[in-house]
Amino acid sequence: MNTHTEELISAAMDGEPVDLDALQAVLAGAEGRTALAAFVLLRAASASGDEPAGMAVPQPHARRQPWLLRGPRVPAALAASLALVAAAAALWIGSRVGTVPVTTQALRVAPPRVQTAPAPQVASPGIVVPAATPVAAPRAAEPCALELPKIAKVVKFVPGVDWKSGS
Amino acid sequence: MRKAWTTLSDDLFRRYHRDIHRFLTRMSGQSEVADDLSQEVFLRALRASGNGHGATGHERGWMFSIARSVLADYRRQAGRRAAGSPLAPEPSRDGGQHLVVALAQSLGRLPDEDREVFLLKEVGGLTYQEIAAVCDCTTDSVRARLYRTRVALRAMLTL
Repeated sequence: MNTHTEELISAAMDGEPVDLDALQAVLAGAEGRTALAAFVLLRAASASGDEPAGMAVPQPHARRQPWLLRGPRVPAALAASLALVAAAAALWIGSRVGTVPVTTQALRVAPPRVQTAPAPQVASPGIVVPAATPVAAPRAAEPCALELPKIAKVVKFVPGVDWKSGS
Repeated sequence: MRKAWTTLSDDLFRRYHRDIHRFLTRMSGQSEVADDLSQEVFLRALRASGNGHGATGHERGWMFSIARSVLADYRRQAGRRAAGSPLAPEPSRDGGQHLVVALAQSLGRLPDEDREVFLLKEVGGLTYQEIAAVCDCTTDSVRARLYRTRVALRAMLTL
């Protein structure tokens, strides 16, 4: 194959300036026309296929996408930190407006004391035992939005008595 | 401001996305990689335009320069050269599937420099001068590489 022929046709195909007389002579022969057909076929094949899938136009904030390739480590840590801060803020706000849950308030009550009589206002955190006589509801240390249930039973801790045994 | 950005991005995307994506697919050999790289190309172009560093001359050549740069960054991060066996392209509506597939495979066997110049011409539609500017070489070098690549492909495909 004449390299000059192919080189001439290659440049002519690309719209580059070539010797027109030489080009005409090359195209007059079968070798030139075959080379031209081959190069045109290559061009057509190059333009086919590889159609990209539908893709949205990238927006400025899309710059964050590359980190996805490396893994979502930063956002998870940030989310956890935000959740912690939000929980702490909720607790603080709740304590300020008196909407602390009953269980939380119960934990703040003084520990049970041993008494003989009368029955203690609050026996122990969370333990309520039916009593023979109703006992007035304990005074809350702070104003509470929730209405505490009346204590129906009181457990007395008496020294020397095994409280684990049956009532 | 945002409307101007959207208009600019739509315009660039409409004009160059298909060719940029095809170029990156043929060079990287992976369509999924080309999807991500294409996004990066347009983001860089839009950012450069927003900063006043957009194309001053040949816009198409500028876009493919960015594509070439994005591809080089990808290869550097991946720590390897692009795959030597390009992905078999999706069937074209015009037929000629066999030739298209064979061409993609043959391109993978060519040196990177020759494949790049060939694709910049055939897919990107750049002139010799634009290719020379993108690849930082002379127009004579572009001419020689193109001719050499076409001859090699013709021989491999027995055209």
